[in-house]
Amino acid sequence: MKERMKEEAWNIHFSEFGRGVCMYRTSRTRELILNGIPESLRGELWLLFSGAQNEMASHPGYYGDLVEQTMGLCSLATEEIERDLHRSMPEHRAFQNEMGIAALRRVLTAYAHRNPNIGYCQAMNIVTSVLLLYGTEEEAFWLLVALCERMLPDYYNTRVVGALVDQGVFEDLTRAFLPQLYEHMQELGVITTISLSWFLTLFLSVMPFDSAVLLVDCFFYEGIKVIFQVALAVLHDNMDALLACSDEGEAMTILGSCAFLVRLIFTASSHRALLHVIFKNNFVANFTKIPQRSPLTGFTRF
Amino acid sequence: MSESYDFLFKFLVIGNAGTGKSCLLHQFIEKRFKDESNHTIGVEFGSKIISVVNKMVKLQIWDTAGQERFRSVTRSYYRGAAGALLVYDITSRETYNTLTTWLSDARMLASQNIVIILCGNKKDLDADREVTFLEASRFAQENELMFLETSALTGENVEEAFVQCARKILNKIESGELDPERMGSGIQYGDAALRQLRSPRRAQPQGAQECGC
Repeated sequence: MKERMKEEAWNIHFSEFGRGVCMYRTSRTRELILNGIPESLRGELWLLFSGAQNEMASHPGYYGDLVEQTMGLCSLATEEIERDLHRSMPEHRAFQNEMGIAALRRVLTAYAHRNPNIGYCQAMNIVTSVLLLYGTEEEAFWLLVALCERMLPDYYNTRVVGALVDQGVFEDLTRAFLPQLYEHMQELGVITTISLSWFLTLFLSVMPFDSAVLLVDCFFYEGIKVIFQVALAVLHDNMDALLACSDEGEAMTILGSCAFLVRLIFTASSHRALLHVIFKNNFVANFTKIPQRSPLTGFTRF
Repeated sequence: MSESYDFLFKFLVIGNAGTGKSCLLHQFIEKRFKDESNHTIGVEFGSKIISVVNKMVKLQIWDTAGQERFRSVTRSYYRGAAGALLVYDITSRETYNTLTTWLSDARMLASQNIVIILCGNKKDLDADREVTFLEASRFAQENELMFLETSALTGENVEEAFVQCARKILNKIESGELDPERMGSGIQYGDAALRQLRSPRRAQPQGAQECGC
């Protein structure tokens, strides 16, 4: 029933602001996303927000051709893909049979063929599995293109440079927003590497699926900013425990266990509340004020 | 924290992707096989206190991603490791062939005196074996590694791998070959050991009994 109401709200929005290849970004759109995208519209909206819809429309037949070309091909990438197919989303029914696995194989292999600079990076399999749950193979492919080439630039390349750069940015943000914790974390050592998987999988590998997918909704609309916000919220939420740690092992135990996220979710009884937990700390409002210069390359992000 | 131990050792688990590193760690800590698991992205962590020759030793274990492109990330964790499990898959020659690369990385980046145990994992899949016990043990001997074939599925030799590695480190401490006080040794004294240091007359076994609870 709730799903129906959400759908209705979106339909009203569509009739006013358009549907299909483009849509206005209004404060109401954001509001609707925070209220939760209905399952039936998720794929369509991800395609729209990411621009994948446009690319797909302007490249008819492209994915099908790639699949044909890559059929039976053997490479380092295909070997690596093969090894990970059964450990991408093993708990989900869709990937407990050969049909789901074969679709995942085709999309990842096609992408590796399209972009040899990336090939296949562990984490792409997890994200692609989720994309496949909400769209056709072709749609999942174009969403993956949007992620790898626009929304998460260089994240999955052969040295995961983009993701590492963003760990540096994340460290800077920690210094700006949670200075006390930042000092303590510097003393503890290299624990920011734990957040690497949060960024590479958009939290899909560490958070319960139903919650993580809400973040993915926000991510497609607002970009990587959302992941930074959630990551800061996670640190903030566990600040006392982290400050009490005397070595990096203890800190890793806190951040590595799912416990921290479960807590975040328990305090949030509804989708909206979850997102408010994340945004309440006002990381959002202040976000644009800091120059987000990445420590490695000097690029300005956002 | 209520846990008490004599020593803390920093351990690494390294080796190619898909050799079962995380499953070994999980089997060691939880005593069961981790079915339906993801691969590791970056680094994961686990710890456990074990009893080795009358000493309580806390192992702090860093489990690393095997995919080549994460190498630069995982390398930063090698620093100051006292012990390592170097894992290959007995059903995959390729994972065995890359052992030398892993080995030189570990010897170069971790503590100089790092104690490494070679683990030929997936021992339960003997029918698909591509690497014989003999050749791997020869490799281990040539490179001064301890060696065991393990099965994260059945649990065979898993605990032993960690314990043997810890025992060797303890022996080296006792013989004076390893100095826990040296920077980057990967070894720290626990509360229990510190107490003993402060009151050296206290019998050591008594200290161990205290923590045996």
